[in-house]
Amino acid sequence: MSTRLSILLALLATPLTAAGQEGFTSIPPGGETAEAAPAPAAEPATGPRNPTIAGLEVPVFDPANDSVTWNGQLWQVDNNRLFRARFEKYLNAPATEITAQAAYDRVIAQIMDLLAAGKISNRNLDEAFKLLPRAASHEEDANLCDSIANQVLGAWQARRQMERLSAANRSLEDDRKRHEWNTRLSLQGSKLNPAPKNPVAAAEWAKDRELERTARLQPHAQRLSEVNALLNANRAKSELSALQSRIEFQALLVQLFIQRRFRHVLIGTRFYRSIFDDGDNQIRLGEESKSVFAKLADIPPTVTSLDTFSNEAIRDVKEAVAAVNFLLEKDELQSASLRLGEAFGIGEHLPEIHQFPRPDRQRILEFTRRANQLLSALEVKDYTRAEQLVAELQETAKDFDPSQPLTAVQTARNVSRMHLARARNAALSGDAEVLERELRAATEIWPNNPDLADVSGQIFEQTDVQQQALLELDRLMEQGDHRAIFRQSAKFIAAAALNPERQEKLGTILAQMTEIEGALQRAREIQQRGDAAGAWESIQIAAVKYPEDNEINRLRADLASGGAATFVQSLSKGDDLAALGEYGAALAWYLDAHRQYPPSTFAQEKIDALATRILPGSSPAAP
Amino acid sequence: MARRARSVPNTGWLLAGLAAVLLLIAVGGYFLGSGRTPYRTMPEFPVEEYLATSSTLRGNSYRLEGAVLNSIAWSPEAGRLISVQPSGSETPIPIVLPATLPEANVQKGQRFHFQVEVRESGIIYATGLTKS
Repeated sequence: MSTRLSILLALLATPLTAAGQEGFTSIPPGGETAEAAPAPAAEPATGPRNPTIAGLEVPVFDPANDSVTWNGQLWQVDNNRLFRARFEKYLNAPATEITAQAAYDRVIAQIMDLLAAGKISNRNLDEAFKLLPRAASHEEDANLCDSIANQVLGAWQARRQMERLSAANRSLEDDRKRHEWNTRLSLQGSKLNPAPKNPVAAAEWAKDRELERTARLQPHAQRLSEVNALLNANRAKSELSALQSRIEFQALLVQLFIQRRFRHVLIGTRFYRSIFDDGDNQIRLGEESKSVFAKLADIPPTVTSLDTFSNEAIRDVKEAVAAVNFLLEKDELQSASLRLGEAFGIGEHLPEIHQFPRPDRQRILEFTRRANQLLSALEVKDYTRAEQLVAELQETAKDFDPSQPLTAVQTARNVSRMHLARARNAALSGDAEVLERELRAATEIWPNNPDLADVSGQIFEQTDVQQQALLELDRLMEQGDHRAIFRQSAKFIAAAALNPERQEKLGTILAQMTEIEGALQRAREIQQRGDAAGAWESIQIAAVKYPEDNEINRLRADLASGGAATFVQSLSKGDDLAALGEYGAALAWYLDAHRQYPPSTFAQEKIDALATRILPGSSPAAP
Repeated sequence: MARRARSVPNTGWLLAGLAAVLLLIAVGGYFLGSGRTPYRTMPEFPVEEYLATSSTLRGNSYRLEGAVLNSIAWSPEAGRLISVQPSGSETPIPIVLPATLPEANVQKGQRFHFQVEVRESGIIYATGLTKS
């Protein structure tokens, strides 16, 4: 049974592959179907080659894993886009199409009934022949009944031609016999005119008689030769015509069989046997094509075998449909879908498939669509959607086995997470190359992984923050706002970690700011002790070094206008007069400042400087 | 018996005598005192003016009394630079005591009468000094 089924499926696969080779999905040689890959490019076949018909390789079906070996690849029969699309189209057929198919099926059934083995007769043959154009008028028939009718008509014409040739041959035979008789009579000669006694005259007479006989015999011999040639030519023509008609009919039957038009095959074989009733049913397809049948089923290719296979296919489909109905009753939609898919693959054009109830089709369609969506989701690696579909399918179909898709989902999820973890680590360590590689790997495994979006977002956000921090650092450096940099030093240190140039500049700025902040802190402490002049002196030292620092300038201004006002004013006046060359008065002001704030280093330094200027070569004197 | 009136001094004369005594004391005091203030013929050093615009005082001589605050610098050739707290002012004034000036022990806290001259760059040079 499986051998015969393999032949059927091998043959039925041919038009599918021819129609849409790119629609197939290959499966690994091990038969694992978790990941369906796109149709592979043509690769040299390494194993034994499949049989061929007219130079085209014939796919061979492996019932063990529902796969077909073809073109060096292993293809899943019921898991390819073309088949899924056709099956969905069938399941979703409108009611009007089903009704139209019912009318067509009735005509075909009527023809088959007329041609049934027990009822076959010339009258039934004529009736069946008349019904062929009616059947061909239906769209579902694809004019195949017209093809059968034309082939039958051609065979009949060939037969009449043979009959005419036979009649001609009979006439020629009569003509040949007549000429043979005449030839014999011509050879016998006339006994009415005897030979003379004289030897010389007798010799002359014999010579004349011979010439006369030759002259009489020659037309009969020539005609006899011509008739024989015509007879031989007619016999050859008759045999050739019969053979040609037979081969053409056989080719049509094989074609119908390949197209899975099993009822048309049966109709054709019945007509064939009535026309070619010599008992020679052997199919003459040539040695190479014969070997196809020999290799597939180890049986001689005959019209009877086509008839048998067709009958068996029809029976298989009936049984499959019965099984589908039983499975539907038990809500086992996965098995029902598979069985109906198999039955559809074989008997797409059989009434059992045509008339399968629409509500049941819809139930299977719903399941099949989800199953196909699951396959598509797995193909495009949308594992989130695949998980949802698995849950829905489990609710719909009691017999749905979620282990395989869930394993695929879990495996992809684990591997993707592993890559994401590596990507996260790479992001933290600033390894851009590893980050890119791991993110790409994670994306390829599970493009819609929600974790991927989160991690990518975090990484990109981190990168964005880093970039923004660097831009802000550059801007603040350009503005000379070192205090702002100092306040956000942690952020900028992290951001500039991978940028040595910025890192060096940032280090210098932070060192300066640390010094400034120290001076400010010291000045404030001195101020808090009530020593405004001391605080001013403290901050003035920093202000000379960092005249741009706002905080220093603010504190210095506060002190200069507050508690240290007169001190600063004295120093300032001294500076002004010193600048004018009025060293005496300048020194007086410096002395005044020193009087106000005796610990003043500023005042002391200025006093010493002017003292040296006023008394060159002098040394500080003890008070 | 009638008492004999006692002889009473004339009050007018008493008052005049008292006034004359007081006058003598005042005049004596004036002359005695002025006799101890040196350089009294010289104008007093205008501290505030000097601090504001010392250049206008250049070339002038003044007398200045004050307490020595500090000795700022000393040079055997150039002399000594001291700071003086002038009477009536809080701002110390630097005064150069040239080496040519007669030797005088100038110590912190001592009060002196200085004869000073404002020279180049507004520097005050003592041209004479006397202990107060």
